[in-house]
Amino acid sequence: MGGRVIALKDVTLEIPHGKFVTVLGPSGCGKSTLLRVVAGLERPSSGQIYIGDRVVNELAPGKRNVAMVFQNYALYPHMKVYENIAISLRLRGLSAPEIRGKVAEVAGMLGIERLLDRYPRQLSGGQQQRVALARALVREPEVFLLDEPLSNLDAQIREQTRSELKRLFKDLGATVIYVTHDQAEAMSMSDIVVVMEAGEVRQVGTADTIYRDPRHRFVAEFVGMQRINILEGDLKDGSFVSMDESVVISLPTSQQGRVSLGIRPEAIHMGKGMGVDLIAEVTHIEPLGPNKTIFVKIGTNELKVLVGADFEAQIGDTLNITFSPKDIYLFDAQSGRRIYVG
Amino acid sequence: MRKAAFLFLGVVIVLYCLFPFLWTVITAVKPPEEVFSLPIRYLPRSLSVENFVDVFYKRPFSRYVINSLIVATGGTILTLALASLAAFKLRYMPVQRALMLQRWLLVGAIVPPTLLVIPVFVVIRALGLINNPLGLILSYSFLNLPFGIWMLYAAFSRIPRELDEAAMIDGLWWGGILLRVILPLARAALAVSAALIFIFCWNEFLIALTLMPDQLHYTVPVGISMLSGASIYEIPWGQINAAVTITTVPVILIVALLQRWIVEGLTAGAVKG
Repeated sequence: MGGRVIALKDVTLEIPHGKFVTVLGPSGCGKSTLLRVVAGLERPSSGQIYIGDRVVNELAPGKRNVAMVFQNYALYPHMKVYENIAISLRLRGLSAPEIRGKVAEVAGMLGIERLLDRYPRQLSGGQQQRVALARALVREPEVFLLDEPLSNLDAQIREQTRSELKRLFKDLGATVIYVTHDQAEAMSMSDIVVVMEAGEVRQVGTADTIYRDPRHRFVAEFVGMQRINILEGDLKDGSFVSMDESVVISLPTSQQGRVSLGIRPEAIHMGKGMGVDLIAEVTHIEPLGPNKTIFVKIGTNELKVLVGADFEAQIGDTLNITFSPKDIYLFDAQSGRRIYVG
Repeated sequence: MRKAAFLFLGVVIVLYCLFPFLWTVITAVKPPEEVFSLPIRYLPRSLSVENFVDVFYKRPFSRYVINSLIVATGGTILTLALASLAAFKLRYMPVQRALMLQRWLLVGAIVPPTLLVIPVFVVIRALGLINNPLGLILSYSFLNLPFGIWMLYAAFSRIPRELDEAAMIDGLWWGGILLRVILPLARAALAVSAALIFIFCWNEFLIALTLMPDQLHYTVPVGISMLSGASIYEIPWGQINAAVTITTVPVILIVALLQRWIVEGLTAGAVKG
């Protein structure tokens, strides 16, 4: 049989009560496993899970007082919407009038009152998503677990649902763990973002911190509307020198060794005088509506620069580009960890 | 023209298939003295229920029907109950291992029941269940389990695992998941399996004869084979055919009742949707 896969490696994470926490990472990074461990669908080989001040390791999923919304919604196809929402209440032994009241309340909150008598197959994707949400809400759980709940929706509905979800959970003051690979979702919805890679937590912080102060090369690369520029090179004698030695940037550091230099496309400007001045050749231009991405080359190094739509340039042009040393991130080439300078 | 030829061919094939059955029914409703009349009368001159009346009043045939109903219903229910549990467990196994177990089950299904008559008899006798419907029910479910597990596993494995997980979070235990989520969603496969297993139990002869030697416990097929006339030289064909006709009624009823599910079950997965 195949080898054992370690999906989560020594993850320590504290989710504050009433916060919307997003776990962000590429597929296979262990974010869904993390959610499933909290839900009790997966057993950790070691470690402890607390919900409130209760250790829940030994509790069955139904006893943990968590609710989960699955990526494909996992509605019971043979039950009407009403039954789908009511089943957990029935299992808890609530009386029929109580159940009716709670289901009606939640259905009203999500605007699905008229769907209660239908089967899931008679609903659109967006409606199914609401029913899945209603099924979670009706239980009034201590923690909501949402596993990429928007990824099966059309782009338009997705954006609308995104803001609705955010408002809904804010109003409820609910504790939410939300898993997604979509950084726009993560950045726009959450109080706290947890970035994961290869089963490890790379950084925990607000959307702003994650973007402005990435602690790991992976975080810098994964977060941001445009992928960050990375130049490989060495630190020697107070300067960063790219592999082909075409880019040399003096930095206030005495550290030595192989590093990756990161600079965001939106931090690079046309012209001179921001501290680091370079000359680059345009290789490719990508219009993006309000912006343009200009791809440039310095030696063998390729960089992306984000400019306004009115900026004119031709392929083959030579441009002066400039950026501030403060916008530079240095990462250890081996571990990917951030190196702070200055 | 082509359509007419096609239709004609269809009618011929259907008649060819149905002829033995039609002949049985015709013989059953003939007055006894007409059964051997020469030249052969393909349609009876008058309809008679005499054979049916005789079967029920001169013979303990209703007893046989009750025995058969008990054994076939019990066998079907026990088989499906055990098969659901097994298929549910297989669902949680790694696919490779589940498929390997299934292949071994298939071996069990291939062995002809005739070969197993003696071992089954020895076991049932040791359990003290000769002339006890329970003995026959156990034997039938043992023989049908591989088929039942096979059918149900195929159906269960098409149900997404997230449903089990959603049910776990909703607070169902595994029995609840099986009863309230999995089985309702596999109802087509359940119906097909139930129909086929019931028909097997209803028609089975050899094991019924072996395990139920007492006349009081005869099932329908055994009872029919034991119908005899006033002497060993007289075979009451009219009554035999009446009995056979009655025997087919539940089978036809079951198929008619479950037809919708059977068609769905047999074609499930054929088309996406």
